[in-house]
Amino acid sequence: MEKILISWLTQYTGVAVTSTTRFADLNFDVFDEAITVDFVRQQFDINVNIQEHWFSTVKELIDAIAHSTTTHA
Amino acid sequence: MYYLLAHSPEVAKYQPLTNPNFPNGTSHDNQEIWFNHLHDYQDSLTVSEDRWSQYQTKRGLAALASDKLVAFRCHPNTAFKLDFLKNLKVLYMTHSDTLLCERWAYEKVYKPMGEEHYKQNFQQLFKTSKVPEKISNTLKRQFIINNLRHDIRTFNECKQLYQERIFQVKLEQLLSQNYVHYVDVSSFLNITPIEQQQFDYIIQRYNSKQWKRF
Repeated sequence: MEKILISWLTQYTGVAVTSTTRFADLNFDVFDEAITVDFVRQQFDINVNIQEHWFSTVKELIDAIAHSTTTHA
Repeated sequence: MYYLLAHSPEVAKYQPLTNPNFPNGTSHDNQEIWFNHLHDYQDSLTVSEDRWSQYQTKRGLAALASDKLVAFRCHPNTAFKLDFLKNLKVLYMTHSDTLLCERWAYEKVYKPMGEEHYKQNFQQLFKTSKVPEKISNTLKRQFIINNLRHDIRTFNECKQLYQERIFQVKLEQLLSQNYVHYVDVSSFLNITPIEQQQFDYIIQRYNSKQWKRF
């Protein structure tokens, strides 16, 4: 899961992403967040659109996916 | 694409271009509101021949029956349902990076609307006129997702339906100033293409806009 997500983020942003990358450094805005939520939902059937504030780092997002059970928005 | 087409004399005579900022418009001289409904980005418009007939006015039907060009923009799934219009020609816009097009739609259509865009979505989703002062980021993300092009009719699906009446516009070709591709589009529509110099200028201006993510 981690590899798939990082690979997708790298392709989407055009920047070499690692688990320590901060979303702020990728200039993420609400549109990018939505696109990411949509990708995670389609790829892993997991809803990460669960909090007001977006994840700080890629690792936080990875952890959220890892700890999630399958949910539907 | 609309902005390029609108420079052709056959289109410009109906709807002179007054906005140089790449509007997404509709060109006809009939002030027909129904055409404007087709602009809806979401596949929310249930189009059928019956419903089309209900909404059409004499003016709109006359416009469709005449040989004057009527250009309008709509969702591919809407275009798919309009095949009962036998004189309709479809330009199907494609790009190898579909998310790029989604970003453009967001930057050009939704972002300028600011909070209003989310409030309208809230009203539509919850069927209420009461809208909270602040809409949560969670809802905003969901509204954006709802507007993404899921389950979209592909070009090949539409091609089966429209056959010779559909043309695949490859946006990456246009944006890399492929004039021949633009001329092919114009030929398909039987309209006069603009000169290459003007075409290049328009594309360069478009590419200089900050509608890209990075």
